[in-house]
Amino acid sequence: MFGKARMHRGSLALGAVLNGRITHVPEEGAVESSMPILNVNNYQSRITVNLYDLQSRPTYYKQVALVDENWTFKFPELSDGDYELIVQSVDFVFNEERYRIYVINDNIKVYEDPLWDEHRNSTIGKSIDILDIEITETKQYFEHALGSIHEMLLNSPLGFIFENRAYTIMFVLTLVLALFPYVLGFINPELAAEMREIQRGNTKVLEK
Amino acid sequence: MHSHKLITLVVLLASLVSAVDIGTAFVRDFVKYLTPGFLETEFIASNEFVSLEGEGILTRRKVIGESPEMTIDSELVWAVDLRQFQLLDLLLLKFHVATNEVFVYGPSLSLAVIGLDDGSLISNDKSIGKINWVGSAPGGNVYAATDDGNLLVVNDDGTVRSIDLNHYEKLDPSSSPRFLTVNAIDYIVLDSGHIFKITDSVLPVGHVPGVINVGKSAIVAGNNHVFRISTDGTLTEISHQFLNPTIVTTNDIVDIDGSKLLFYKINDDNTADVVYTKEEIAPISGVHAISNDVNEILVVDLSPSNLKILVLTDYLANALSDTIKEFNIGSSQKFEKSIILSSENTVLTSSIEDSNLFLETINWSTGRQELRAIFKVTVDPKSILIVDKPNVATESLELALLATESSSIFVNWLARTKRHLSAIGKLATSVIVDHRLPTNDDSGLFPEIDFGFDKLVLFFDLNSCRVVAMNTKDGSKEWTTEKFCTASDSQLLGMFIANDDVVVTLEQHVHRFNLHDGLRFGPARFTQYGYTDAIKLKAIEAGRDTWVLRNGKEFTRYGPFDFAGDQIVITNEDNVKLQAYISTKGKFIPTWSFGSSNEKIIKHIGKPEESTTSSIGVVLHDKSVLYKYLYPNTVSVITSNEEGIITFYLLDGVKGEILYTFKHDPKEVLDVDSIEVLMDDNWIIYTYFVFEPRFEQRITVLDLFDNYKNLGGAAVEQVSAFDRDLKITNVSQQAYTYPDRIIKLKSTVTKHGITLKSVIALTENGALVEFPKWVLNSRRVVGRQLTKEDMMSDFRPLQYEPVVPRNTKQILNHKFKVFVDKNGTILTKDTNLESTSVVCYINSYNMFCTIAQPSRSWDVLGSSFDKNKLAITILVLIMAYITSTLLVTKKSLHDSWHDSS
Repeated sequence: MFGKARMHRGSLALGAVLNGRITHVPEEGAVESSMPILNVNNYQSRITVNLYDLQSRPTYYKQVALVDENWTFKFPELSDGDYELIVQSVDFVFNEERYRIYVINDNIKVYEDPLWDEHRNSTIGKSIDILDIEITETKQYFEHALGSIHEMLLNSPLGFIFENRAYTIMFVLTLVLALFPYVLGFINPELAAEMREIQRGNTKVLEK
Repeated sequence: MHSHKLITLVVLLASLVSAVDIGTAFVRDFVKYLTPGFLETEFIASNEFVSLEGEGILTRRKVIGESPEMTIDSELVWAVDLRQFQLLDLLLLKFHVATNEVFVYGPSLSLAVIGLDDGSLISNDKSIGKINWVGSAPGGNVYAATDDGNLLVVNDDGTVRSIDLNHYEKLDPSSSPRFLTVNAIDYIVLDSGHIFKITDSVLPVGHVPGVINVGKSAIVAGNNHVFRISTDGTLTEISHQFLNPTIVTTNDIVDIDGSKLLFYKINDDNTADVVYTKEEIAPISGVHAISNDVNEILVVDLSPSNLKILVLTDYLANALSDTIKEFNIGSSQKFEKSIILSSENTVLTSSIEDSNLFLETINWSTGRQELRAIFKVTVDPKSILIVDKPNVATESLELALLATESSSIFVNWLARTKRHLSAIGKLATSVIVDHRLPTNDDSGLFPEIDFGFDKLVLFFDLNSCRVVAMNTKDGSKEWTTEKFCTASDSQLLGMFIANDDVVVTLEQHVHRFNLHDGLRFGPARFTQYGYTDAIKLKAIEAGRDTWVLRNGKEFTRYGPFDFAGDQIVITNEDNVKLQAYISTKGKFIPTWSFGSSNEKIIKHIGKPEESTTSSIGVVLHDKSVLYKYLYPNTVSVITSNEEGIITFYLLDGVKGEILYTFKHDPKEVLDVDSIEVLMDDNWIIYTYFVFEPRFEQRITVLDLFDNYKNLGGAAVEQVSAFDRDLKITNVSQQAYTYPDRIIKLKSTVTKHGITLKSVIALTENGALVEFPKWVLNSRRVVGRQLTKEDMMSDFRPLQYEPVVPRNTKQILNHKFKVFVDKNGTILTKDTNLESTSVVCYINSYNMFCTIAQPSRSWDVLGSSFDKNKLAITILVLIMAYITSTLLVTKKSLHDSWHDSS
């Protein structure tokens, strides 16, 4: 919450508090690697949150926040001034990863500060309880071979058949049964003729 | 002849299979994690521990592998990078491991609670303030002491509850409070001797004089009084005067009397009786009791460097003194180290010495006792090299073939037939007699096609004073040299490959090692004191190398040969002046200098020697050629003046003239430490982080073109640098921004320079990004749509966009995040495949290697090649062929019958 100076557990905390939250977290990211990846399921540890104090020239003092398991982070005790917040993740793309933060009289205003936007100041700053940073997509690091047979089949109108094993078996069996008389004609013409005879006989019986 | 063809076919097929294997070898990503040095460790099992490493990485590691030697390996279970916090934290960062959590605390971190299983951050509430100490009571509750003397109860979710102890007494910030747990209620014992009961409120229990030791459920006060807290919470004194007691259990106390251990039993009426006396061979200076759910041990300190362990588990159960088991711990161990008991009847002692971790385990069931160590690795950034791995089998085969080569074609044919017949004989023997297919170790049978993917990354490990060679395919250690220095004389001046040997020049001695196995060549050669650099030079003998050592303006040859006469060395003096030297008649004479007193030289770099270029120009739409400026002796210099304004200079490395200069906007405020420069082909790229006017990472690209444009393909005559006007008039320059901060730069290298170049950038987030050079092109079209002429005047021309977007497909290390530091180095090396370049990144934390193919895999089947599709197509074609053959046969037979009838 963005709030004014307040007492906190017996100690005096001065300045505003910037709370952030990562939202729209996908259920489970697909991990494609034959080798174990360090911290691969701990997505939060693979997010860096840096807040640069733009007043503190020439060093531009950097504060760091860790993202906890509830996907939140916090910068307590921000004094008045301008800050640049940069949030980056190894696994996800955010709707915006750069924010300009203005703290005036312990009130915080947040502006999105995209790299390609030169007209930040025309944006109206928002005073909100918590800064929500939305995940828009999962980063895909591996290129997939396009047009593989399997993929082509799945993307075809018959794709729904191949997605289900039972349907696939039924489809193959039907196809084999349908084609069998024609194939038999090439392999064993006599047997095929005999079968045709039998079939004709049966038809005649039915006609009678 | 048929057999000859068959063998050739088999060898070819084997080679193809091998080629496919090599092609997929680097698809498997790996990061080899090193051990940057242990600051603090806490074992959670006999083979797992939590540690704080390097410059502030909290890790959980698992000890792996049984090594016949003392050195063992470990793998990371998880890691939390806390290096991003302030440096002050590193010195004061501490942690405490509880049942399921790790509590980390430091000045700007405050208190962070991390899950022990997966390293996830449960909470990090910085508003708690500065924490001085975190610890657990024997009952399991976790407490923290704040800098201002408050006591906090820390819950599993990281929330804290303040305990109003200040009402009675403030905690001493320099000491660690001690706890007892009786009947699931915690008691705090302060240094002052005051004891408080901790419930929802704090209640004073009593006072004991001069506390010296706190056991799980009793207190030793003064030197000879023992107090117990009874189940109703009252404090009672044991009516016996001890000498130097230690509490083992609620009812068992061990006292020291010179070299005697006195075992006491406490009676219900609070009296104590000696039940067993044990005599040691030396005076006992201290005793320490440790227990877990199963076992109880006593660590007896016999002298400052000799420890003994007594296992009391059975004795405490049956009171039989002969069931006490005894073990001595090596004399090198110290009493201060941590000792843990594991459930497998094992005592494990760990200690950190010079950031190396030593482990001694004693199993009293099997009697097995071993000392192991995980050594710190400190990669000296001056020493990092990448070289082709010497292939003994291929080299010897090539040599043998050369030796038997004759001028007669017939003789050569006979020799080849004989070799192939012998190969098939070996194959037959291998299959019939040994019932196995031959492997690559069976030299000469199926010589593996050498694609040159096998490289070695060499570095000087400052900690062990050895050179280490790591394989780039899987990060395994190929060899290590013997230890050749000590901590006091390990200052490295330079390390390089000269005449196929590894030459290591330290401050006072020079060593040579074999590149094949790391074995030493001859004794060390001692040098005079005072040299600061070792510089490798081309020798006067063709194809040979030599080296000189530099002491200020003095150069001394230490290499085996005289250096070539035209070698120029450029050196940086006091960061304000560049000085060039020319070598002549075995001496170095200063030629030109560059710099002024009000400009500090931030970076200077020459064009890399291994840079190769095949294309000398760009064909434009009007069929004219825009020639590249490929003068090799150029030097890029970046300076910063007192106001922090940076200037780029391109110098002629022979004459020292300024060929091109560019001063940055004075309004631009940038991080001078972030500047990285890269030169290759006809371009220069430098990157820097800008604070103002916008907070962003910038990439400046300069493409240099020759004045001799529009020559219409006429050959340019070779001219001397001293005769020709080398001034560049056609410099194309453009700046880009990139979303991530760039730490290091390197360009890819291929054997002939035909393949396009890529720029490899390491970002602050641990990603190695491959930028194709055509993306970082200064000749992008600005402010208008691309025309047909533009499309014909460059390779993949693009419209100018200020931001180079992040493309995850260009990240070479994919989801693997490497630990980045300023000392790390990106290495690139060509392979025998023109399309492919090996790329590695190494520092003391980790090593990552992969291959880069800037123009895709145009000379080898890539991993994306769909073998299944090819196989299915072939099968369908075969089936179609068989079917149509059958049809044609049937039809012709049918026609024959018809014709005949």
